[in-house]
Formats: sequence, C-alpha cells, structure tokens
Amino acid sequence: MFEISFFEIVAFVRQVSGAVAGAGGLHGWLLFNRQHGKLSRLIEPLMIGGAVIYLVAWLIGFVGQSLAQAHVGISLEPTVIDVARSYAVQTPLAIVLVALLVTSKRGLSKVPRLYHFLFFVVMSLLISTYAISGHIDLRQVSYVWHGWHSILTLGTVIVLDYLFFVCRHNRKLLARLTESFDRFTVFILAGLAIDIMSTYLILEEALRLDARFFFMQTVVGVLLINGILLSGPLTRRAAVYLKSERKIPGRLQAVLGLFGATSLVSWNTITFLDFVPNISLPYVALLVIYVAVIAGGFVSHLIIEGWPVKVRA
Amino acid sequence: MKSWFTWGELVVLIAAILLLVSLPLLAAGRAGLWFGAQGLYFIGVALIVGRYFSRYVRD
Repeated sequence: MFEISFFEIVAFVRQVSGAVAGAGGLHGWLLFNRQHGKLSRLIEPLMIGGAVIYLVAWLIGFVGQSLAQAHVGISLEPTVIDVARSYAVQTPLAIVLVALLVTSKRGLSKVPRLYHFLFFVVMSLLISTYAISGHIDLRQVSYVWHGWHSILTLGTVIVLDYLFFVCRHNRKLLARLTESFDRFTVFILAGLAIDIMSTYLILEEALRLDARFFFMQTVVGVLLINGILLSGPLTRRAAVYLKSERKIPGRLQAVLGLFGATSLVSWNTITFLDFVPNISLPYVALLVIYVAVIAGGFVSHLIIEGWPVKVRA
Repeated sequence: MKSWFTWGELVVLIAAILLLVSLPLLAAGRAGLWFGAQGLYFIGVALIVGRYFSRYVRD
C-alpha cells in the first residue's frame, strides 16, 4: 500500500523548498517598490531558508539518486541517466547558489532587488533542470515546464500563506497584501496552465487512468474552485474591511482560513503524490485522508488565531 | 451593483466544475468533456491574465 523510499521524500522536499526559494525571489523582486517594500523584506527569511533546505536535499540526492514525476496525476518518469545528466548541469548552479547564500546578508541589505532577482533566476534554472533528456525535444521542454511551474504554483501559495501569517496582526500590511492578491492569483493560475501544457507534450505515454490520476484531478478541480472563491469574492470582501480600517468579521476570517488551508493542503498533496508515486490506496481512502488533512490544517489555523480561548477578529 | 466574479474567474470556475463532472465520463472512456474543461480553463486564465495586465499598464 505504501512504498515510500527515502529518496522520494528527498525529491519532494527538494521540489517544495526550491519552489519556495524561487517564488520568494520572484515575489520579493516584484514587490520591491515603495508601497510593498516591507512585504518584500518579510519574504527574505523564507527565501533563504528554502534555498538552504534545497541545497541540503540536492546534496543528499547527488550522493544517492532522486526521481521526479509530472503533476496533475500524469506521470513522466525521468530515467536514471536523465537525472544523472541533470546533476552534471546543476553542479555549477548549486555552487552559484552557495555563493549567493554566503553573500546574501550583505547583498540583501545593499542591493536587495538584484539579490531577489538573482535568487529567482538561479532557482528557476535549478528547478527546471531536475532531468536532462540529452536532446532538445518535447520531453525536455516538458521537464523544464513541469519543474519550473512549481515556483508559480506551490511556491507562490506558500509565500502568500507565509505573508498572511507574518502580517496577521498588522492591518496596514494585510491591506497591502490583499491589494496584491490578484497578482498572486495570476501567477498561480498561469503556473497550472504551464503544468497542463507540459503534460500534453507527453500525454500518450504518460496518461494512466488509475485511482491516483482521478484523485489528483479531483484535487485540481477542488483547488481551482477554492482558489477562484478565495481570490475573488472573499478577498474583495476582506479588502473592503481592511481599506476602511474595520475589523474583519470572525465568520469571514474563519472562512478565509478554511479556504487558505484547503489551498495549501491541495498543492502540497499534488506535489507529494507526484514525488511519492507508489501509494496504491483506493480513491475514497485518498479522499478521506485529503479531507482529514484539510480539517487538521484548518483547526491548526484556528488554534494559531487563539481558538478556543478567543478568536481574533 | 458589483458582480461577484470577473469573466475570467467565472470561466475558470465553470471549467473546474466541468473537470470534476467529466471524471466519471473519462473513467467510462469518454474524454471529450475532460479535454473541453481543460480548453475552457485556458480561456479563463487568458481572460484573467489579460485583465490583470491591462489594469497594470493603465495604472
């Protein structure tokens, strides 16, 4: 039922941390202006932490081996040779990342925008080259798009949730963040479109209509409905309160927390199942676990907000 | 009165619902609706991205 290998977990951690560091660089770079400079500064610890974890996972994978698979349930398994080639390409990039990390304290204080941009570029190159097919063909384009889209999707969702978490007691910053929500939504939806396009390139050989595929397609449907409701009517409603410096009603805050938890859990679920493919649970069992994890995430959110002692509004 | 959704959001929402509805059909070997939902998703994303960048350029 569960055949999870150590290197599958390493590959999952590498993808998540790489996506977070890349998204941290991207949004830190884009948000670094007069209105949103403070938000950009808040991202820095997450970006540095993501890059450090990525390097550790990369080194473990370099010593052993790691495989990656395509998202949304459609499997593209790189060969061991494809992965070995990728490490040869990635080694100089990993050295550049180490240099960026070593100089990051000084660099982020002197030329913050440039450093965010450099982190974004280096992480983009690293995460896009998790497998090298040896030819410039559709398979290679699929690898690149599939790897890179995580920065726009999973990475952006984690950066956004992190920003909401660290800004939760600062109404002014929350208002700024809510104003920028549509920008994050554009990146997330475009990232999923890139992922779908990358799977079409290899569709015939990769489409397996099993329980895992149907479950992951269900999660994609749920996260799209969830994402549109969260970024659309719910965020616009919250923005009205924040702009007029009024408290967000407790019920709206709880609904926002539930939708936020669903988004975070859904993206992590998809990425986890991609990197841990040998889970042969039936569809219903996967669905029950998924709902239970969302419930756990939501309860954690409520506890962080002070429940059951008090709910901050 | 302000509407709840933009056109792009509405199209993506419909695409997501169609995606979920299409899964039993796909299991039965009929992939038309599944592909249709994916196509609709691309249209919705194009509308959302277009709206965002037109506002970005205007502002």
